[in-house]
Amino acid sequence: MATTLFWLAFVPKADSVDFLNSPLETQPRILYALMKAVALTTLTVAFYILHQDVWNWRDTTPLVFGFLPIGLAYHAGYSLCAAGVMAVLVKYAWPKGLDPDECHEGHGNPQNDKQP
Amino acid sequence: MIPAIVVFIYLAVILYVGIFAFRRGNNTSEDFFLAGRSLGPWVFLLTVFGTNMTAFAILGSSGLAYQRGIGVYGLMASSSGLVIPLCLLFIGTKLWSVGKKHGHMTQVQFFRDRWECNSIGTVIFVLTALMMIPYIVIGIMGGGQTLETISGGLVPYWFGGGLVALVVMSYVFFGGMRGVAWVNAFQTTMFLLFGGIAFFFIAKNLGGFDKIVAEMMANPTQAPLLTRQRISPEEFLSYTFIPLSAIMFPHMAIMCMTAKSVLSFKKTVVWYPICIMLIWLPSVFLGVIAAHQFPGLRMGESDDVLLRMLSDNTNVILAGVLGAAIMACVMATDSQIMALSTMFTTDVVSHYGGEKVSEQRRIWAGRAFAVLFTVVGYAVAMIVQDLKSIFDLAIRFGFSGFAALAPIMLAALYWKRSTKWGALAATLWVAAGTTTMWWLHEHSVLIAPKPGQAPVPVFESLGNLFLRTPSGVTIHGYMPVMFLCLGSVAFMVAFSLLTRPPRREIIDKYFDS
Repeated sequence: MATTLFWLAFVPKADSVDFLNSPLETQPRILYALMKAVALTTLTVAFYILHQDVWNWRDTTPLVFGFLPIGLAYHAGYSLCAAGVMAVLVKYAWPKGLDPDECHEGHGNPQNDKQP
Repeated sequence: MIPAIVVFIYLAVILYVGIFAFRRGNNTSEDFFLAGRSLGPWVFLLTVFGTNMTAFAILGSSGLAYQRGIGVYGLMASSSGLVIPLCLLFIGTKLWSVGKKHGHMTQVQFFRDRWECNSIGTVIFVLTALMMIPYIVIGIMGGGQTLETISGGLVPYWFGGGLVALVVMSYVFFGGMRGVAWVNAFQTTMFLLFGGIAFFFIAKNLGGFDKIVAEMMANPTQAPLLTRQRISPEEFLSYTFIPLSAIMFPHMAIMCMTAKSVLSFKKTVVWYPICIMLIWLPSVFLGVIAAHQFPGLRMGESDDVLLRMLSDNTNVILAGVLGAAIMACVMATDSQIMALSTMFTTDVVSHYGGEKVSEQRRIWAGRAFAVLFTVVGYAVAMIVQDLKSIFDLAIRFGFSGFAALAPIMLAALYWKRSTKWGALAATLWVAAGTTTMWWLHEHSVLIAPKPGQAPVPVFESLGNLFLRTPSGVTIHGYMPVMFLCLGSVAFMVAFSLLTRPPRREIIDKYFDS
């Protein structure tokens, strides 16, 4: 599911990209985009797999901070890491061209992100 | 009685917050139903998170942890911390964009226009509206029960439920989505703040959690709760499909359209997993610790262990404030009433009334629906009080149903070749599959094993195909939601490819050429 989501998000125009027939100067950009898509997809899928921590299934110890069973501490840490993964995705996989006003308002200008 | 008084004061405060928001609004239907698409990043984060944190999430998680152990956190919370932000990043932002460009307020409006078909929108409307109603009833029931528990029985169920319904109805009526958003933001802040304080006080009162955990490890009946032995790896894996439901819940999809800018999503996507951890980690851990404090509670009885832990281990004021914060989660019913009102006004009144329905009439129709749903919800909550378990069950199946509808949204937004017939086939598959699983669940109630016992076959002749576990029916050990989602994808793809593609104009309208 995550893979599907990613390919849909990263390569929405895949059917219109003809790498071999595209101008030479645009080929490195296409390659970079594809490599980025592969790297970020791999990161997300790997992170999803890490959610299935079968190695912690029957263990209580070590107790983190003296009271938190390892199986629970692992997933608390997983939640923190999820925030890190999301920060990476927001930085490198942020969908472009979604805001119809962004070209008028100045996309990425923090002042535009303030509350009314 | 003091905790109940604290809750009354709290209800007065949120009523003020909700109605105060009314004063800031303009008199347009977009302002009433979508807060004028004006929510900034932090309010948007707290509102989206608060909308998704229901009584089912907070009280249910600790009650379930009491029965099944620490694995409940990984099962429900950390998986949501990954899947929901991904949905917001790739589906929520796109939905926001489509809503802003074409003026849509609900997902049904989008589906009708995207596939140029009234009927597909109507089918999805009926299915989602039916799956939403139990949430409203459960919210009002939860309000009545929480106030009754907190006050030690002094505030009767009918009065507590009525008070909650009245407060919610008032700020939805006056404040609309802006009121709901600000109240949710306020409630989430309250819960995050006082939840941590209560956790500290409970630990102190119990003489430290390390002592309790050591005693539980030495007790053979309680030690499995500190591991994941009561959850199978298959269930753990397939449960990760459930959080897909978040993006198809009407209240979440509509909430996505309230952001001022697409940039408002950034903070929500990054901070969502941390907010989940801050609320779920104490809830699940205290649920497990409660098995040591109050042993022997059966399924259903364990749903209020969090309230018991609070009232037994904190002072009355803090118990009252935390009780109020739990009430806040119970009252997530506000965004559901708001969403249903928006859907009925936009997808029925405006859709069939056309241009004849003025802005003012739309707002008043929204308000009338809010009153109607609250009154009906209250009446049902009072009449069928003893049938709470049925509504609980309906919500559980609702999660699976909404999750299995997510591929339809994904296809509508990203797959040009998707057609109304694909969407219709997938929707009917979800409706039929969810109903069948409910029937199987009810059919196997009498043979359900107790927590910790092995699953039993539902039909001996079919071997391990359908297994009954303490919590429900599985298919070869996996949760039905996984098969519902995969089936939904298969129906969407197969029927789309077999039928005529959408018109070029529609493709150009919704996809960059």
